[in-house]
Amino acid sequence: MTTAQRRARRPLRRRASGGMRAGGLPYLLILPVVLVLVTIAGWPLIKIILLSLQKQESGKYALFHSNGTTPFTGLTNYVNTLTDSTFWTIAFRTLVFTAVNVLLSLVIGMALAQLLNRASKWARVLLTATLLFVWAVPSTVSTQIFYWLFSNQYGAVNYVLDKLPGVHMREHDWFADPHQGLAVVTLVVVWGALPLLAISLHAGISQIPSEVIEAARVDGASAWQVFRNVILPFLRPLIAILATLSVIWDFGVFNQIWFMRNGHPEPGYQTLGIYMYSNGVGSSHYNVGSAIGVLMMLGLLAVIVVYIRQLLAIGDEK
Amino acid sequence: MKRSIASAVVIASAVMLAASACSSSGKSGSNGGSTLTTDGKGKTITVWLQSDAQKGWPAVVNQANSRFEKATGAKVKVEWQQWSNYTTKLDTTFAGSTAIPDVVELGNTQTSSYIAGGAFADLTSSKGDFENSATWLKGLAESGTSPAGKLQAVPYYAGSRVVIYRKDLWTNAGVTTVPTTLDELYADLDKVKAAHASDPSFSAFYMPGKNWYAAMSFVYGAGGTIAAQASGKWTGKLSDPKAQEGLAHWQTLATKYSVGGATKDEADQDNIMSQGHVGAILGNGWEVGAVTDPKTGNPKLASDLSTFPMPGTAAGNYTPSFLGGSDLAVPEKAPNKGLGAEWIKIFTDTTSQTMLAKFAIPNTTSLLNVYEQQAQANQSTGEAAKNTWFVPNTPNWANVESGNVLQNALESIATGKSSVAAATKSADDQIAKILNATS
Repeated sequence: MTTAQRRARRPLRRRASGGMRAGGLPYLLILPVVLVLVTIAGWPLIKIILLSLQKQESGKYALFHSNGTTPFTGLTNYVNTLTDSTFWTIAFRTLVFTAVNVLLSLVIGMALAQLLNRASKWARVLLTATLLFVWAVPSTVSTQIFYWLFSNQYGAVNYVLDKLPGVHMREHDWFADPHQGLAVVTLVVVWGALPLLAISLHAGISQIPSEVIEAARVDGASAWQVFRNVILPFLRPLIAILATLSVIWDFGVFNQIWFMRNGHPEPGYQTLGIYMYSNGVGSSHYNVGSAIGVLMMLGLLAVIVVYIRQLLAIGDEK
Repeated sequence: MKRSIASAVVIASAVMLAASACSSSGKSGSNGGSTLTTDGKGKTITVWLQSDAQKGWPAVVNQANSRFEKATGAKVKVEWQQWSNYTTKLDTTFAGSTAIPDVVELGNTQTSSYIAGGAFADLTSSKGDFENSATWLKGLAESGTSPAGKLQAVPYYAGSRVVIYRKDLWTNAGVTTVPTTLDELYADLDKVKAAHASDPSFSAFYMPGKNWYAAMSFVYGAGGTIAAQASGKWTGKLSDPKAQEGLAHWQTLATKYSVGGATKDEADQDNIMSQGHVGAILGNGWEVGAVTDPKTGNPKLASDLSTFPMPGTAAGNYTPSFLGGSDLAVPEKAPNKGLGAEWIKIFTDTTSQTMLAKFAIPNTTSLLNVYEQQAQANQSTGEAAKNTWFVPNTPNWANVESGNVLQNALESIATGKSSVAAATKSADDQIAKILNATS
């Protein structure tokens, strides 16, 4: 950028910031959103933090007779949760589950994006439409469908696998072993995540100037080298955002596990979200449940910081 | 002239209003205890009933409402509820102070934690007002009574579980008489199983791995129990020899005669039975209707299904059935406690329960004969309702259920992951920990 160009840009910026000073209108315009957010997110957030600092009674007497408030006990609920080995087992399982799901959805999403990019027009339209249909399916529905597919007695998957020579999958129960069961859950989660990832990445790839790719090819780069050294660097900010979002989603996966186990997830299926719900809501331990919720939030906050920094960095580049 | 008439009317109505306000405040709300009142002009009470009634016996509800409206002048608003997440809804409602219903229905395993939490009005002084209260089903009456003997919830209806079997499949396998002992049952199941040896999906007796109601029935049948309290402390009793003996029976059904249900609960067993690869299940009497339902089941099986109470170790000695059921209670914070109690009185009196007996086990032993006359299945369930077991009656029990302690232990037995001994040892530890929790 030349100095002249820079100078030309400056007045524009000044005018933009001058608009901010022009009065309270922008604040007025943003007020409804802020109000809505404060009511539906802010108040519950304060309430959950307060609950997590109050004593967990085993009975419901305090809940019914003192408006649900019990004496403040500082960090007792947090200490109890963090010193419980079950919590750490579940936290570790959640991390592994999240990592596997994010990695799989990004890799497959990228592969589909490449396919979209190379496919002929009608194939691309067909594929995009299919992806949008997948996107439209609520997770409760897709989970139920996958549950039926993998049903041990009348499921299509066992039936098809059993037809293969040398494979005996009749009556195989996919949910007896939590590892296999969570693999099925992963399938649903990744399946549901693909549309957004594939379409966003496809959009990202189509923004890359074709001459850059051509230049690389002319210089003798293989397809892999083009992808590794040209396409990936271009997509890095987008991938970072999609990865962060995927981490946030997959970390909090709930429906897919809950409905795959018919509302009674066995110990081997417990992730933090499930643990929080069955402890807090299922057993009416609202204080301990809130503490687990706050811990989950703190964990995610670290990821969100990365996300916001990435967003700001992209803003700066432009 | 006109004016004075108008003012007379105003004064008269004001006096009446004041009088009625006095009488209602005088009648109800004396020291936590609540007495029935029929004074409800201009009021509307809110009743929370589970949708079982909406689907199964709406006419019973309607007749009770119209009799109540006639007797009190108050209106009834029934709000239909769902069982899933119901306790969460109750918790949040009772924690608040507005929009509290005047009557709530609860499952009989849920009541004790609410009674201990002081959620319900004390109905002890009015017990005599409820018809048949002397002959209420024991399991239901106990669940509605506090450890100190105070009546806090009124029995509504019950269900008991029996063996539902395919008479045609059993006859074809050479079994023509109903088994009277567990050994006879196993011999019969062997024959049924052998006759279907070519069908790998066939269950001679479909027993889901998470069906804890069934498993615990065998525990109680063998003389065992889930947990016992001694000097204020609970101990899990599933590792006791008698409980182990009972669980071995359940394990035989779940592993030797059942196919494909190891990681499931009993929720979809009727659908599975209607597919045709199941010789028998253990279910509520009304599940016969679910198996043969034209929409979700197979109506062709209607003439092939029959029932008998689950036999026990000796002839004439049935395996006790879990007495599931519902109670009705008046919330302590309800705006119209006296009217709520009055509605419960009408909804659970002989007239209402005689109608209800066509669909479910009524709340009193005196009407069991009406129930048993309705259908073949009712004879078995009525018989089974005479010998029942119930969960440990302590406020923390609900957390054993919501923590899936028994279901997880049983599933690990059914899938062969744990032995009965190992699974029950770990379950006992968890049960003791949960039942003894104080803070």
